[in-house]
Amino acid sequence: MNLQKSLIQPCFEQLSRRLHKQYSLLNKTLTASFKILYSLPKNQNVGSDKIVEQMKKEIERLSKLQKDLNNYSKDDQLIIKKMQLRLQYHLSLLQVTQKNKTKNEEENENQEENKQEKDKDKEIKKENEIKEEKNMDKEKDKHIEIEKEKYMNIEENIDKEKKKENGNEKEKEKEKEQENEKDTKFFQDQIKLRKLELNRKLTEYMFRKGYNKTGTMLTERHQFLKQLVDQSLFLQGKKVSVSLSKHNLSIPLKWCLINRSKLKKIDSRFEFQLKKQQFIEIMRKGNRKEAINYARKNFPPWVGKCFSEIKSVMGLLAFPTPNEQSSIPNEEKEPFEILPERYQLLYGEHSWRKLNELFTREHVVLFGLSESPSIEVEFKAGICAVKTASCHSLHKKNQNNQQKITEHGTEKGKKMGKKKKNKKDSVLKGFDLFKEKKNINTNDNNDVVDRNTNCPTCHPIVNKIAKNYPRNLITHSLIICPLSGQIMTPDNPPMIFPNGNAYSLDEMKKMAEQNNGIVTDIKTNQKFKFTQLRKAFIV
Amino acid sequence: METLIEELKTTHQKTLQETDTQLSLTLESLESAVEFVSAMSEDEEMMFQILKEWESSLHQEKRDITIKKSQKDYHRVLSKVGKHLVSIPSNEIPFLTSKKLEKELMDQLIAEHLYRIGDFELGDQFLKESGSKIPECFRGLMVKMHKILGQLYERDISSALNWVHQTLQIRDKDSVNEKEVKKNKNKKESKKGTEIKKGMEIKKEMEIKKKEEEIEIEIEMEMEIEKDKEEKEKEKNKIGKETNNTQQQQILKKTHSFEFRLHKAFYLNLLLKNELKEAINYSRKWFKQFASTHMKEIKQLAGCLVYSNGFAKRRFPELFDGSVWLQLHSEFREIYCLVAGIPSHSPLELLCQAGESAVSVLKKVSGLIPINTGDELPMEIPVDNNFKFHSSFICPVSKERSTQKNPPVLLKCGHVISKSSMKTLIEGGKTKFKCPYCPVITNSQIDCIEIKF
Repeated sequence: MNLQKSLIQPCFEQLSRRLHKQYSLLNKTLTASFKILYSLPKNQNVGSDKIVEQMKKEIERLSKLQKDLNNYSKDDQLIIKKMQLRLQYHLSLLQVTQKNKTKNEEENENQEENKQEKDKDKEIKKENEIKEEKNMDKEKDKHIEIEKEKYMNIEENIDKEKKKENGNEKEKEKEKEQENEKDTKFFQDQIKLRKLELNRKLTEYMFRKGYNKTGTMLTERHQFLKQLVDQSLFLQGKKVSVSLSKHNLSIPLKWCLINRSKLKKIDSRFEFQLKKQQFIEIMRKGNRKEAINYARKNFPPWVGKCFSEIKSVMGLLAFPTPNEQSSIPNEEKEPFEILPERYQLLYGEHSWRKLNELFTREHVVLFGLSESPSIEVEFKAGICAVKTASCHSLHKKNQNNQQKITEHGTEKGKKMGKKKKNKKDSVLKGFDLFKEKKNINTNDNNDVVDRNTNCPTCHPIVNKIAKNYPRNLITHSLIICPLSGQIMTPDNPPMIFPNGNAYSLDEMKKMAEQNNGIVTDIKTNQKFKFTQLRKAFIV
Repeated sequence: METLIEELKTTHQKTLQETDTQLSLTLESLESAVEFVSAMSEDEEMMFQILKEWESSLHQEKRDITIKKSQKDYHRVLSKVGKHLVSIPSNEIPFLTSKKLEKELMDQLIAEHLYRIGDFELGDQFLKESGSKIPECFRGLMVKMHKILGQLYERDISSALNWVHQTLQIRDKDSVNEKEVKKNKNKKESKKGTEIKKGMEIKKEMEIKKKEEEIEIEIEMEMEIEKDKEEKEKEKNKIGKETNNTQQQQILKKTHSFEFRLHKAFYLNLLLKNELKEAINYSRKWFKQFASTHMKEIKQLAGCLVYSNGFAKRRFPELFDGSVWLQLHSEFREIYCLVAGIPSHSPLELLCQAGESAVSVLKKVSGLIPINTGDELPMEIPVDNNFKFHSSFICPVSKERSTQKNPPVLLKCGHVISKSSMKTLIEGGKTKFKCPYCPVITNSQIDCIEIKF
């Protein structure tokens, strides 16, 4: 649903703006020309030549209107097609996610049935096992099919190129028809869709941050991207932000005028911020009278919402401006430095930067897009979903060691000052305090280090980012075999060594077969007999 | 929504047609009027009569009004679409948007992703425009990987084989080096101990008793600090060694079976081309080392020789349809990344995939409960097993996650509960207790093992 809004609203906004323009143009010309036409027979004193002239003029005008409208509506139709394409894309994405959900639900159901029927018949158990195997096989098959298609696609592309070299018109027409059919088929292909979605998010990120060249390169490499990403929107926005960075307020003010009604709907204060900045600029030059007049004209409509800000800005009048000299003679400090910090900030770069940020946010919200690029939102949500306590245990242990040493240093300092009676007591006390502090800092640092190179949150860059994010709540146990990397199931339960380490049953069986019934614990290189291992049942 | 847009399309077309026809009709009547008027230019009265008639007909037809009406129809449908869009709630999840993401870090991740896909041109361009940097060794790694992959796509296994042999050699060297490093570490630790003792002796000789007391305290504290340091280093080394050991074992196994599959694919290729003698020679050369581990598959492959004239394809369709090569591609990626110590899939892609479903859950919940920055979310985001990389044990009795302080404990019957829940069962000084799941009595001191997942 959210995606729908961000995909379709920009098109809608485009269409409605065009409609406004179109309608006003149409209205004007129609009313004007029909007025003249209705008034023709009333001017009886005018010569026939003039009447004919006027009529011809109207003919020209109306035919021009017709042409313009036709051209306009052709572009409108393209936009409507774009809307339809985007909607189709969105619906097929929804289907994909729903399919995955039903898959997961089926698997969960199978697991629950297994638990119930362990008390009951064994035959039903076996049936479920076969179902699960089929599901796994299906997934594997799908994966293989998808890879096959990839391979086939490479061959297809080669064929396409050959066709283009031949270049018959009929073939081209057929190709177009086939392409139209392929559009719908393309959207049914799961993996291609997912890739396209990722690429769409990447291009959106590029354009939002201003990396236009890479963005255009991306759109050229993938089909449909040009129609799915609103390049023009971001380019328009760039104009305004460029002028803001050059400290020019005229273009942003124009933009505000154009979008006034919509900005009101969002309840935005951007226009007020612009006017506030204008006030500051007038003050910077030192024209207090002009500034007061400007404030009288422009600030009253905003009193209801932004009164406190108006107050603080007007306070600038009381202080000397940056270019003024102070009235007090022999002043050591420059006048500008007398100002309290918050007023200095108003005069500085900080306020321009804030303006820019506010603009980029509002500009995008107007068109129904989210404030931050969608890739960032999903990335952050993904961190919350995937992060576990063991992703950070190494990092936190290091941090903790440093803390302990420094704290201990201060402890030492305290003890040097005091005179103690019993050496032992003092030493033990220190050690106890040391231990206590250990406990306070080690809420989650008691986790076992469980390294997995494939875990995305353990990647060094992601790890930095993920510090501030909560981890996912886990309600069911999940044990992964360190040897095979597979999740242990009731059919492949963990086998516990006498020293406490655990590996999956399948791996231990294999090892035992190859080594005459002796299994080695890889972490400690100790050897045991297969019979010494104990099965664990994880509920 | 679909229906709305369809409606929009149709009304747009209608209005277009309407305006077009109406305008052309007015133009026609205008032109005919012009003809009449110019014909009647001499007789003014007639001219004005014609004009009047024409004007009254214009009034009656009301073409301008119909045009405006049709435009209004289109406007109406468009505003319907707009209202529908406004009714869709916004995308924002406040607790996520409040956390700022450093631009540089995100750019680095995106560049990594682009290199992993193999699009080096785009990645370089992106790094130029964004101004961020990535360690060059990563780019080199990816370039190599894609070279070998490219050859595999064309069914050429030579570079992949070279790579496999290289990594196996390096692993052998590494194991030798590790033993040397162990010996050096032991020497260093003994040196440290002697230095500390010397320091103590010197200081004792120099100072008076009161100061001696304080100094002794100091020294003992230092000893403790250094002991703790050493312990922690030892732990780290242990853990490091343990993980290294398991990783190395995994790598060796996987490269071994990967090598076998490379040879298998090449052998099948030879069979496809009907070069039976060469296939036999090839198998004799390469399949020996895999006899202990992959006997079943070797038997199947040898069996293919029996069939002639392409009957092998019918008997073993899965071997000859190209899926073997496709499996090789994905396997190679995994192993290459495992050896290099980097994740096998782009972390950006994985996290975004996981985030797609997470976003909807987070949005629902953030409206109901405040999700503060605690360590843990207040609800579970359901996540596919593909995204689970670490083990976690939840005690079925207390529903707590197990930690090093509160490890899971294996009971006599094979059930596992956390240590704290076991302690509550032993309350009152008992040693024997019943498992909460089955009526087997466990002795807490003899039969239980603490498990390290």
